[in-house]
Amino acid sequence: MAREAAARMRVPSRLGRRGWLLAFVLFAAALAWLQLGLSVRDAVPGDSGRGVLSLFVGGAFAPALTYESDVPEGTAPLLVKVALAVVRTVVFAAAGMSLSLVVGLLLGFLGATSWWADDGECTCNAWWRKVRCYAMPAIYGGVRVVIALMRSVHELLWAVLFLAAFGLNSFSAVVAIAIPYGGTLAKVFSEMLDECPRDSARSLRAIGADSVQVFAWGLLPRAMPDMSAYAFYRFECAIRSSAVLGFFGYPTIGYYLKLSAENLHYREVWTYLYALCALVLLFELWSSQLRRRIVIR
Amino acid sequence: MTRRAVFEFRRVSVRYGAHVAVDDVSFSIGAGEAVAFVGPSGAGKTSVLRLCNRTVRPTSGEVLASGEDLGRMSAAKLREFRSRTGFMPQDLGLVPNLRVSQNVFAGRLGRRGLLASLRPLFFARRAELERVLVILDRLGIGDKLFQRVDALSGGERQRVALARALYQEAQALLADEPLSALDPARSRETIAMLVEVASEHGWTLVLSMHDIELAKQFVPRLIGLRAGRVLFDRATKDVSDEELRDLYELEGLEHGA
Repeated sequence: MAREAAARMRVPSRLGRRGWLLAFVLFAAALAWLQLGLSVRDAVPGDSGRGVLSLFVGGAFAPALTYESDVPEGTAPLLVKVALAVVRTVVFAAAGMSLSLVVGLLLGFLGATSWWADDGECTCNAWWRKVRCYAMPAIYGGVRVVIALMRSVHELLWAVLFLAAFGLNSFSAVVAIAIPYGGTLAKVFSEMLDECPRDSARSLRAIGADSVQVFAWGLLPRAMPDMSAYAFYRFECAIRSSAVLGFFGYPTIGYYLKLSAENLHYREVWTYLYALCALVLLFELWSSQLRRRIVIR
Repeated sequence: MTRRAVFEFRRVSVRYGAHVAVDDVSFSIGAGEAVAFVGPSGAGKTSVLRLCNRTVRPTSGEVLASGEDLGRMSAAKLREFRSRTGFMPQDLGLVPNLRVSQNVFAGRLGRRGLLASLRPLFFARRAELERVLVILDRLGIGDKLFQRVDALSGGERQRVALARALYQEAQALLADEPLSALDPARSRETIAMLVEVASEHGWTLVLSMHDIELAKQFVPRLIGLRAGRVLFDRATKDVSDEELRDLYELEGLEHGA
C-alpha cells in the first residue's frame, strides 16, 4: 500500500528534458567562450586605451554644453545642433515606423490564421472550399516566408544596400528601417492575433459575420492593447536604429556622435548620448501613459 | 397546432471521437415557442443548441431550420439564416474591450457588407445610437451605452448580449446556460426578462438550463436530456417529479443505461 502511494507521488522525471536543455545551454556557452579565447584580461585596457577610457569616462560627468574646439563663425550653438539632431532622429524613426506599421498590419493580417479558421463549419460551395483549402494556406505560407526574409536582414545592412542603390537620401534610410521593422511587426502582430481568445470571434461568426468582419470586430479589438504596446516598443527601437543610421551619413544623432568621437571630443559624445537617453525616457513616459489608458482604462 | 417548425431534429447524433454527445435525438420546435433543455452537465445541452445554428454539425441525422436542411445550406444562405438567429453562448462572446454600443452594433454584421459593417465601429450614426439606446433602456442598462464591457457586472453583460440579439432583429434566440454566471436573485430576474422579451418580439426561444426550478417556473416546455438522449419532451405542467428525479439521478450515469 505504502509502496503504491510512493509510486503515485513520484515526480515524473527529476532531470527530465528541461534539465538536459539547461545542461546543453551551459555547455554551449562554455564552448563559445573557449572557442573565442575570452579571458578576464581582455577587459583590462592597454596604456593608450587607458587614456581614451579615462577621457571617455570623464566626459560622462561633464558633458559638453559648448563646442570643445573652435568652430567657424555663424555655426549654431552645440545645444541647438543636438536638439536638431534629436528631432531628425525622431522624424526618421517616425517615417520608417509609419511605413512599417502599414506593412506590418497588412502582412500581419495575411500571416494570421485565426480569421480564416473554420470553426467546425464548412461551406458546401465547392469553389469556396477550394479557396479555403488551397489558396488561403498558400497565401499564408508565402506571407510567412516573406516576413521571415524581411526580418532576416538587419536595418543597417538594408541601409548599406539602399545607400548603394539610391544614394544618401532620406528615402533610403526610411525604407531601410521600414523593411525589417515591417517584417517584425507582421510576425508579432500575426501571432498576437492568433493567440488572442476566440470566444468573441466564434460568437460573431455564429450570428452571420463573415471572415473579415470577424477579424475586424472580434479579433483585432482583442489583440489591440498588446499590439499597440508592442508597436510603441518598436518605435523606441526605431529611434535607436535611426540614431545609428547616422553613422552612414544620415543627419541623425549618430552622424554627429561619430564626428565628435573621431575628433576625440568625448564630452560632446556624452552630450549626444544623454540626449538619446532623454529621448528614450521621454518616449517611455509617454507610451506608458498611453498604454495605461488603453489597457487599464 | 399548425405552426411551422422553426427547428426540427431528425434522428440527430453527434460524436466526438468515441464520445457520443448527442444520441439519436428527434424533436421539433414551433415558431414563437419557448423551450428549455434541462439535464445534468454533459447531457448534450450545449451540443443540441449549437446544432441549431450549425456551429456544431451532426455526425448523422439532419437538422432542419424552417424546413430547410442546415447541412445542405450554401454559405450565403447559412449566413442569412444566422443573421436572423440570435446566439448567446455560455461565455456570451462579447468583446470585452469594446464599448457596449459597439458590442450591440455587432449584432447586425451578418446583414452588412464589409465597409458598411466597419463604419459603426468608429462612426456610429445618431439614429443607430438612438436605436441601441432604446433597447438598452428597455433592458435597464441605458446608462452603460459607452461603457466598456469588461467594466460591467455579470448581469449587465447578460443584458448586453440580449441587447445584441434585439438589435440583430433576430427571429429566434439560442441561449446556452444564460444563468450560469448569475446569483439566484439575478437569475430569476434574467430568465423572466428573457422570456418576456422573447414573447414581446415573437421570438422562438431555445434555452439550455441546469436550474430545473427556474425552468419549471418560467418556460412552458421542457426537454429532458441525459447522456445525449431525450428522456422526456412535454409541456412543463405535465412533467412529473419522478421524471425530473430520473433526469438528475447519479446512479444511472455511473453504470450507463
